[in-house]
Amino acid sequence: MKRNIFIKWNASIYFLTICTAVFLLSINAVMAAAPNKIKIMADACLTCHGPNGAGSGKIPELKGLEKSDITESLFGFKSGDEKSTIMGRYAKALNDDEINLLAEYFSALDK
Amino acid sequence: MNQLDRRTFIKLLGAAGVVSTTSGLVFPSSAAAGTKARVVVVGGGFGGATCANYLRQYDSNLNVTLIEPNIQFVTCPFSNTVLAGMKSINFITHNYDGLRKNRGVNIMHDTVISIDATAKKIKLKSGKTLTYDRLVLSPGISFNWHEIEGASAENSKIMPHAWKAGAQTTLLQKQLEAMKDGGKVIIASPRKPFRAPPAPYERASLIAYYLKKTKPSSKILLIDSSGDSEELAMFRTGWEKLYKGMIEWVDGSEQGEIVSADAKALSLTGRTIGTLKGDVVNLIPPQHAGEIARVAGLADESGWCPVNPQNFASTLQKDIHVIGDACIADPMQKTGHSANTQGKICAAAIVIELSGGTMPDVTYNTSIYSLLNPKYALSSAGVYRLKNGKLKQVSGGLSAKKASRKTRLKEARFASGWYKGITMDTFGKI
Repeated sequence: MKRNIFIKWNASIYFLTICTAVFLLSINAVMAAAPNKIKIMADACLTCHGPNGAGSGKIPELKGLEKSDITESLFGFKSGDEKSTIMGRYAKALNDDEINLLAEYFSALDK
Repeated sequence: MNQLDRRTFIKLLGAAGVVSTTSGLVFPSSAAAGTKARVVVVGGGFGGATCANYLRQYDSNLNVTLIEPNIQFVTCPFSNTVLAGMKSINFITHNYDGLRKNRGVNIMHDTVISIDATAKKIKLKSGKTLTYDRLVLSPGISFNWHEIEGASAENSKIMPHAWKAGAQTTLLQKQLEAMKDGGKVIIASPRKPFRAPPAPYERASLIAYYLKKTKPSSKILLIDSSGDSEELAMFRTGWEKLYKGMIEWVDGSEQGEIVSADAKALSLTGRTIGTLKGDVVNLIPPQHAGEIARVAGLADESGWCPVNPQNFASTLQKDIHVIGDACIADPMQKTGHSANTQGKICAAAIVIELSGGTMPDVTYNTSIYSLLNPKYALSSAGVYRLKNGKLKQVSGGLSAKKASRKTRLKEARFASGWYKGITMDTFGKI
């Protein structure tokens, strides 16, 4: 019996340790996000559009916009159909896949 | 009852490891593996602060230390607005609280005096020694005083450069304030390459804005080492509209370059332009990479640091990266925005390399806004990609040559938004 209690106690310590480890990893998930192609390219937008793409002064926000609104603007800037001061110069560098993925990225950020 | 022994426990931990691996999009594998690589970043300007910030954002397990001698950083962008009395020096002054509190960067206010690239150690002025797995240098510029006879750090207290913002900005602003109406301001730009190529034009514009309001009989003489260009033409169009007859432009390129300066007489001499005297002289000297990069053997004969633009690794020393004004990243201009971009790309590359991955194909963005007055701005932008190991411009250019005042006003407003955005992004403000 004594031995059984020890095993139970021992098991719960192990369980707690695992829970703690998983919890610590989940904290990291909030703090850090590994750089991949679209993450790096989206982070480039933050220089002007501000942290988290929330907008900066007269520079509009990106986060939480409808994906279709972002793609419409970027394709418009790229073709020149949508007038811009600087965005046309940036959008021309992007290919169609990049425009779609960037739009998806920013639309998925919480508003 | 099954006994939960050590072996089972290790297996369970392994399962937790699988959890972290399968969420690889969220966790960098080095974070999942729990490595605590040490990255030391030297220089807390747009390049270094951004790099330290994003290293921690991309991998929160990294031990990141930023070494910067100053407690606060005064930005060169928008420093011309201080000269014009539009903004105070406080507006362009930033601290490192955001990086410390929001990003977990260790900040050390110290100066690097030597780097041992073989032992991967750096020595600090305080006597401390730090070891690193990767070292990122973002030392900015230092001045090549000896190229101009009579120019020196000491004489810059009389003829300020104001090309590193802070006390020099305030000094030049005070000189402009003290100048009599009808006085002459000389601005002399340096031989290329130098920090912020269009900034002498912005400076001439905003000093004219200030003088027109307060001392309208005054004149500005701009000795321009860059010579004529499409960009200059756009500024000259603006000057004609806003400051007719106030700014005289002198071609200071090639043979026109300044060769000597006389601080007592407040005069500058160029080979073909003779000796020109001013009431306020803003002599911007020729530049090279910040001193520590040169001392550490990271600069080539040009005085700047050659790097692989994919990760900004030095081509001269292993495990050391050089970003910002100090590195050779042609055709990207040496600007705050370029340094910020390079800081992010260098951070991403380091995290990816430490986890055994390969850097993806990404764009490198840059821009520089120049104000001609608070409601009139021009911009220059560039986007670059790596092709065969070199950066190639894929798009960009200048603002529309012909545009309404409404468009120039829009760009002035975007310039303010850009400044707020880049300083928040760089210094980890949220």
